[in-house]
Amino acid sequence: MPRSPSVEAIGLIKRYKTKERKGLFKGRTIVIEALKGVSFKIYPGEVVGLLGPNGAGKTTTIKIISTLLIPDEGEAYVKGYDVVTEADMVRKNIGVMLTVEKGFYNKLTGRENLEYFAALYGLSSNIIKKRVQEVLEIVGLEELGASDRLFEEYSLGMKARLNLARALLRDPDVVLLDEPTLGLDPPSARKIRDLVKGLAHREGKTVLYTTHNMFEAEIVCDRIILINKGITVAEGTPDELKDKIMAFRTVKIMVKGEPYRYDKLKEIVGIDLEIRKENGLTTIMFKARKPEELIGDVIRVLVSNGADIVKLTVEEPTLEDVFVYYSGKG
Amino acid sequence: MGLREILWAEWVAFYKDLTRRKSLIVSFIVYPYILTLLFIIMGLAVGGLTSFGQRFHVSAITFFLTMSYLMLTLLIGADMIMQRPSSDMWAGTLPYILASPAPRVLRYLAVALPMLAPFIVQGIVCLTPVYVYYYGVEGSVLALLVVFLSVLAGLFMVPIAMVIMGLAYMVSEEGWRIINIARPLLLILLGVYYPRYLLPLVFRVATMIIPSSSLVEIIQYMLINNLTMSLASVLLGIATASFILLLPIGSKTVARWEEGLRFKGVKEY
Repeated sequence: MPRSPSVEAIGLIKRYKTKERKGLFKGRTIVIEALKGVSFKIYPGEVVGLLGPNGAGKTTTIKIISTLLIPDEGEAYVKGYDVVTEADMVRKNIGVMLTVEKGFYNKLTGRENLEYFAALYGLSSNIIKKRVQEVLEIVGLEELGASDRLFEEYSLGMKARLNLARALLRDPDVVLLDEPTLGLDPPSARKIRDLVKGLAHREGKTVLYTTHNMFEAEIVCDRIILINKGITVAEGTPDELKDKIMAFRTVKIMVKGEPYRYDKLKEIVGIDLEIRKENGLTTIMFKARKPEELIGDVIRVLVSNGADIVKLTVEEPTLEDVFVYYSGKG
Repeated sequence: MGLREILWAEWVAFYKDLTRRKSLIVSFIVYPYILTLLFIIMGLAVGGLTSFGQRFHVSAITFFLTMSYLMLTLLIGADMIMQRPSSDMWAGTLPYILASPAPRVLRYLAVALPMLAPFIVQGIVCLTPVYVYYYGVEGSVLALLVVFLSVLAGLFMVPIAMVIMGLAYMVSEEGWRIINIARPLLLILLGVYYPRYLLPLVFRVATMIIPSSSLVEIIQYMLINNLTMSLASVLLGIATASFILLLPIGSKTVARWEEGLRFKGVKEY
């Protein structure tokens, strides 16, 4: 039996109206198309990363799914509920984290802030205190002794944890996180990443996660959706995405002295050949989809010309390469 | 989800915030006296305490102290509602509040109620000694009645505050500027500083749509010792009916504003 998706977006289109200002009173309304047809499906127990450059439409997508924004066209569903017509049902099934540093009342403690939102989110009064204590422990604020400190005294890492705690208050099946580690120091970012992975893999929650951090996306996300200029440009596991751009495996051969016969090398690897000379060593670099088919010929040419090979490396593409590749395509 | 949970949440949030801002507590106590002093000084400049008494059949001190207290009570809950979108935008809490399934009418009632509670104490503390001085021992009963009606009038401001807030923020993202204009107009229509029974009939009818203005009128009749049971019942009936009628309108206005935000996107500062 096919699994049904926890989150589904079908051809989401969103346009914003803004004003172009000229002088004191002149201006004209312009329309910016933030999303031009984003579609994807996310299944239970998955952490899916929504990646894209600034202005790609990541936050707009998260806001639509969290019922905070109505799309101009297209549909989105959370656990089968329409985000526009059944917004209340969607809200009962999601936890949202939109920013790291804000979103709470300064003069209340972390615990009081969570109790406030727990009540607003419909938790009954007899379980609020217990649930708040649980989420404070889950995100580690209790361990830090920060639960009863005023929000205004929190560090950025603590604020991020508190934001995540609020997203978990209702024990939702779907958690939407918009750049949850933005600006955090490495230990805090690692804590958030571990928590997010645990949510999906231990508790079976569905997590949609936006980030710019490729390293983070690679270690946290089971699947990645790349969007650029409002459209979905690629989708798959980190490995699948890298495989898609295999043309960009980089081969570096370091040789002693001058190998000559660049014309022969160019004949083999094509125009992407790059030569760097430094401290009596020459590095020959080229990118190839299947470098194993070329390396033998290249080495034969070098050796036949008396080159002494010092080092040979084949660099696998990183997720950043994938990101850069697709960012240029959108 | 019921009023109990939401009320508890707003109650705790308000009182924790209040007790951590000492200047706010001081201002709660001194505001009615400061406002009374201001109006008495202004009044002395144009006439005098006696001429006021002769015209309105009530001591200027009693009248302005009561009206200053009443003004604070009427505006405090309403202001809290009207300014809430602005403060929530700055705190970054607005998206999370919009994403909550809490019924809006219950939520705004819950926003106003904790604000009104300290005014019971403030009213008793401020009004009772002055009333006892001017009206004798019965003054204490009068003070309790005025406090009760004032707090009720404050609560009855909720739907009109929801309507003004919703409309102001629908017109502009900086709706608080419009609210700053609407607030003094509201005070005139409420009849706080200019008795409604002295207003021209047209204005008097117009003020009927503001539920609290009828309660203000009851208090003013009480002060001049000219309130009959039938008049009190009629005014109380008008106030209650307009309050009930305005609640769904307030709810719809807030819903329209929120829907507008969902089209444009919630601004985060």
